[in-house]
Amino acid sequence: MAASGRLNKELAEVGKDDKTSGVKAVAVTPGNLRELKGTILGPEGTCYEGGVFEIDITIPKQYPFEPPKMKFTTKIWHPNISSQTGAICLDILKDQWSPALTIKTALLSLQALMCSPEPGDPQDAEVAKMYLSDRKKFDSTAKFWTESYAQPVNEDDAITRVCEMGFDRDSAKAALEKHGWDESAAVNQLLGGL
Amino acid sequence: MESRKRQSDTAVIVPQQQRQQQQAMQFSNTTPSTRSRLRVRIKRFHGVAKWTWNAGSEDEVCGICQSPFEGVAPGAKYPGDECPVVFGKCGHAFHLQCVATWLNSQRTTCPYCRQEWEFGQSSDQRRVSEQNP
Ligand SMILES: [Zn+2]
Ligand SMILES: [Zn+2]
Repeated sequence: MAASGRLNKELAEVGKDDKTSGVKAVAVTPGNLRELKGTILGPEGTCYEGGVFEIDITIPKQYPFEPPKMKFTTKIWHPNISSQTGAICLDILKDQWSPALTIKTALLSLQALMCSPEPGDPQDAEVAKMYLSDRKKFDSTAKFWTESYAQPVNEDDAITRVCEMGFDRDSAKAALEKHGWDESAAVNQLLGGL
Repeated sequence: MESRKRQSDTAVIVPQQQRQQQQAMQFSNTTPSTRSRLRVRIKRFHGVAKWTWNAGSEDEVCGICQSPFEGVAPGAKYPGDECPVVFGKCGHAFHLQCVATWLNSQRTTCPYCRQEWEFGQSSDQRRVSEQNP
């Protein structure tokens, strides 16, 4: 109870749509404070501008004495984030964690990392190599990935498109939510269920 | 930092003389004819006191559990002496239980400034040194 007091407080704070900070986190299932979905708006003036990046957040039992576990679920081209798995290399999420930090400050640190990559301490060697050797190519790849993978989904439009293929609204919405708004995966599931 | 005394042991007692005067005023109206002064002997005294930890302002929270210093840290049942506030040599304050759990998890630094944590004065010692500089 007392330990989740802090989490409750934090979620009330970080759950609000905060246009100024551009970071947010909400519980995946209402009532479960340990599995969160974070979102970071791509910082202006970077290759990630205009993108919406989703982060899987798991709160360990020992929180805040252990850091929250964070991982990008949106594909991103960045030297400190794995282009394959979304794993993040950021010291405060590892040995530099402090219980004075919060979910919000951790997300803000990630946002800062998107602004200033640290190729000297890479998570993805291939991306870091490109960042150091061919900055132009890096920038255009990162932009391309933002445009391809990090576009905010208009949920209503997606539901309508799936409905047009002959499914009812409720099952279309459920299938889309289950598959992270991947329309073809949702349709496949709906077809399989016939 | 605003200085704040822990006041649990300093309940206010009205001085003897003043108390008698107040009582005389109250009772002289009710018995104007007899002129005799009523005496009241106080047999019991119920003091009520408010206390705060001598650590920053009243609405300040512990940086670890984010509960107020006057509140209860996770794992402690009651606020107050059960749940003391401790200072590091760096000057940062936390609930004792909170910083102890942190130090038990193989960390050695202050959660705020990352200096090596060393226990400094407790709030009680601070109170004494502030009163008798
Ligand atoms: Zn605390
Ligand atoms: Zn400190």
